[in-house]
Amino acid sequence: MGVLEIAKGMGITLGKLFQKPVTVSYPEQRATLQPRFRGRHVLTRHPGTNLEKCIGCSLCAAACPAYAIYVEAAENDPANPTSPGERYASVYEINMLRCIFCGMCEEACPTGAVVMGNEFEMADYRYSDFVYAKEDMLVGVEGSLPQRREAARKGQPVRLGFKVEGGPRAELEGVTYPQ
Amino acid sequence: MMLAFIILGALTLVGGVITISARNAVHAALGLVGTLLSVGGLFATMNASFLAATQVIVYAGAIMVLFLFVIMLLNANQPVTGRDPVPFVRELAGIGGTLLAGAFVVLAFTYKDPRPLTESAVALRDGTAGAVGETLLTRFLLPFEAVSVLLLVAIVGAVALVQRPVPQPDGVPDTEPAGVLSPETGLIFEAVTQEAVLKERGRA
Amino acid sequence: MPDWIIQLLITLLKGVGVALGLLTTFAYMTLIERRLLARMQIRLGPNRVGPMGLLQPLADAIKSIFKEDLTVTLADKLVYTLAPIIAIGCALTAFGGLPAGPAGSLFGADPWVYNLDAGLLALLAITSMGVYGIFLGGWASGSKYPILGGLRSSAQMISYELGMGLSVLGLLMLVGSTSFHAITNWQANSGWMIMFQLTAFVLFLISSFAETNRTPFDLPEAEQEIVAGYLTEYSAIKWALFQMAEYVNMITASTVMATLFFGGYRGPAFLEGLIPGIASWPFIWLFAKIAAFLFLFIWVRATLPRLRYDQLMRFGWKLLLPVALANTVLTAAIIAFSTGRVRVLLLVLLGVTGVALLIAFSDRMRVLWTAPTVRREDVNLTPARPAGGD
Repeated sequence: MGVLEIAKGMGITLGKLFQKPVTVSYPEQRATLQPRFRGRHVLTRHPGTNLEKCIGCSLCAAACPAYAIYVEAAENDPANPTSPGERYASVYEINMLRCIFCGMCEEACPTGAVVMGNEFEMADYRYSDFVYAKEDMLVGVEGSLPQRREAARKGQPVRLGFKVEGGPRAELEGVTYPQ
Repeated sequence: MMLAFIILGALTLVGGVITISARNAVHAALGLVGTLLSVGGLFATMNASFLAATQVIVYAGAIMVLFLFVIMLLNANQPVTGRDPVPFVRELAGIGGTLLAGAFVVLAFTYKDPRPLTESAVALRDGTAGAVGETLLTRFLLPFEAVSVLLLVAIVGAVALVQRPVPQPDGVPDTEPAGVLSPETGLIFEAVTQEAVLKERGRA
Repeated sequence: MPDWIIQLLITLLKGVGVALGLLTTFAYMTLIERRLLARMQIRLGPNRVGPMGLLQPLADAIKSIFKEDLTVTLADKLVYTLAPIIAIGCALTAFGGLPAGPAGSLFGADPWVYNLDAGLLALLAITSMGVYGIFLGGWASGSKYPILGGLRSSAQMISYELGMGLSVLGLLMLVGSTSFHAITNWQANSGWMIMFQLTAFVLFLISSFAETNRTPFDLPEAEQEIVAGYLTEYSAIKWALFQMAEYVNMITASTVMATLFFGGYRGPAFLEGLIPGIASWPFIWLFAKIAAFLFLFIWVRATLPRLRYDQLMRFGWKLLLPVALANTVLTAAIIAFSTGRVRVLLLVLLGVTGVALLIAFSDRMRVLWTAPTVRREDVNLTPARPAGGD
């Protein structure tokens, strides 16, 4: 009966009033991300030798649908190699304003060097600050440019505003996120 | 009390002047609202609280809203230009004005002092709903009922005027059932759906 | 100082106090409504400004006042400015006549601003003038959507005013007076009016939702259809005044329902047995009842979807009005032909059966307002080709 259906609906809303809200108070509480979430790229290293996996082949740049990646390759110094192959990426830049976080660079990479991480808090004020260089993305660098700037200003460690359920993917070798 | 009467009377007149002089129909209607409200106020100063409230509810609150509704719906707030739509309107207005002036003259010559306010207030028991109702349904029963019949006739007439003629295709009976008596309740008419009408037509 | 100046000053003081109180209540109502709506949708709601978001109304007020006050080129300047003032003026004036306690209970003064014999009638008159605010605001904006919103609201409010007025007629006949004091005193002697006029209360409740333009009857401002209705071209403080008027009307409607059907400023009599004198504690009871009704307003808004416009009108004219009329006639018959206990019994029976019938036939009655009325000549307009696709 119509009126009773209304009463039922009213009962449901009243019940929800006493339920704990599902809202995550984001900057204070950490948002929970799934491991598959595609955020800022990470350039990984070989675990044992600590050499960079990237060999400067530019396949990621070719695969990128948004033309966000720029790679310049250079010959390795045989005595002190940066990467295990002949060449390494002397310049590796990603424009985060162009990037659409599709993950095709990751699929194209023959050595598994560029991997999509989970970080997403990259909001900043100037265009130039969105071009992330190699040293901004190598394993071990935690946080985005603005986050690191803020941390340096306050003299505190970088605080990531998220946690990853079950930890980062296996591809993200050496990367740790708060759980 | 005298001051209130003067202020309210002036407001009534100002509203009336706005009503007939405003070029914009909405402004004219608003002037009329002002007049009706002031008349309500005049009733209130005469301790006729029921009459005042009814005046505001019925005239200012309902009838004038309907007026404005029609003006806005038909977008009739443009000033009227061109020839007068009613023939001899100026002549008729002149006759009406003369009659009204004559009525005022008669009124002025036959003026008697009204009953003092306190006395009439006692007679009407402070103008409460009960006193008004009693007066209407005993002393003024005939005019009251006549007015209600008049209003009814006006409503029926308005409905008849806006009713478009019903086309009568061949073979369709004149009295098509407008609704179906609900078998369970025996009370409620189910509204005519398009399907029902089409089905009815198909059967006929 | 002569006596009448003192009286005037006290009345002025009370008027200002009531206005300030209502506006503060309005400010915090917005916060409470947003928080409650959020909690009913399992969210947190605004909690950023001040502790627990308590300063949010202040922030909103500052924003409204200092925002640019736009006027549309095609607007009728005078009426455009006048409309929000009419709306808030009528809303605030309407509240003043409601008694918050017995005579002399406010530090020796009477806890109301004005007291008219016409009480309820005067209140209906003032609220019916409140329609003009919305209506003229819509017209004076000189824009399409506002005028649609204004037309809708005027039609809606006139329709539901009828149902509202008719539903309280039975109550007025029982009490024999339109004064709020008489109504409250009657209830103090014979028990709460809701026992005798249950059907009337249900009808009055529905009508007051429509009169205050609240969900499920908030058609004048149906965002999906007509942007913000009559509010579309308003900004800054004028917009805020309209919002104030809406919320003050809501508070007034709550107070009226509390006064007419729930004993007004007096508490329930059966509690007197537990703590003597509890039913005549000043103000607390009225405030508690107002709060309960305001919660109901918010609760309904969190639950029910909006009606379609034609359904709204049909609902008012085909269900509300006839039922209110029937209730009036039956109440009049009971009052005329019975006395004492029999009258009480019959009235209770009338109320209970009325509501029971409304609930039992709620599905069946739905065709009254859901099925479209088909004019007979329209049937011939069936398209020759099947509809859809060329």
